[in-house]
Amino acid sequence: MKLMNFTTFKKILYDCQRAQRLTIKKQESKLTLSEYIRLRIHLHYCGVCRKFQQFSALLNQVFAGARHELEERPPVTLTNEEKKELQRQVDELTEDLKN
Amino acid sequence: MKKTLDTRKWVENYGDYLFSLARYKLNDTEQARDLVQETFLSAIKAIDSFRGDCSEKTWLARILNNKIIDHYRAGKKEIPMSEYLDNTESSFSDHYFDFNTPGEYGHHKIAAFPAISPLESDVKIHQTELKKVLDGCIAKLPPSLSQVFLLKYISGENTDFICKKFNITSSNYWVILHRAKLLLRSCIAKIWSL
Repeated sequence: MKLMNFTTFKKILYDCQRAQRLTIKKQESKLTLSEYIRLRIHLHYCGVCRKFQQFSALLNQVFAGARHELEERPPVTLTNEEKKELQRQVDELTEDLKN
Repeated sequence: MKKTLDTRKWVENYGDYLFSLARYKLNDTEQARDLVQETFLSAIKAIDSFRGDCSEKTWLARILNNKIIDHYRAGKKEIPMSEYLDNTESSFSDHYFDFNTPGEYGHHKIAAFPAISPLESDVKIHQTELKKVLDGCIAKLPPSLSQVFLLKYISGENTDFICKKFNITSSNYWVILHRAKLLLRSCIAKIWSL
């Protein structure tokens, strides 16, 4: 049984742009079965795209950490004075809108 | 059921987070402070539109993000994102991939993928060090790409939200993330090869 012709196979092996876009998609959502197979075959033969996959995953990890940091320990802070003044404005406007 | 919001602790609870978020995205402390103020005041005026489908914090961060995007857009003629992607598709792809030589079918161009030894050796580099380098590189991304990149990676917005916001398909979205990551890779390679 003939599964795919030579040109199709060669395109799978050679098209790094497609493979890398699939890598991104895989890390963010889900691949279809044919996309999954295509990517597996490509990555088996292509070291550059394997490196890209690692790089992409590393970025995801670094930014997940950075986002967590930003939420838990905001690197810059407003001064107490600024906070008081800002909250005063917030309260004032809230009151105004109630009436 | 309608959720009521208590604004009395807003500044204490969310002020520093919003300020840091704005400061990171804008690289401008004064501007960041002003936008945080505007965010709180607009949020109060729009308080009836809060539907409780996300947390109060996320809702405020979204208002802030809209203000940041407006700030970038101010005075510029806006090109729809999908048009931007189409217009730049071939010049971008051709830098990294070979679609012109018969039989190459988009094969990577070796010169466009230099090894990044600190990332690819066994010695683990510290993530905070990498993050510092990345921050510099993100600042150099085309604004169209960095807006999307930061919404995903710093604001933590999901695919659906971002696609709706920029009126793009999910394929467009993968392309944007791919481009941003390729450019970041090139930028890091350049810095670490010096």
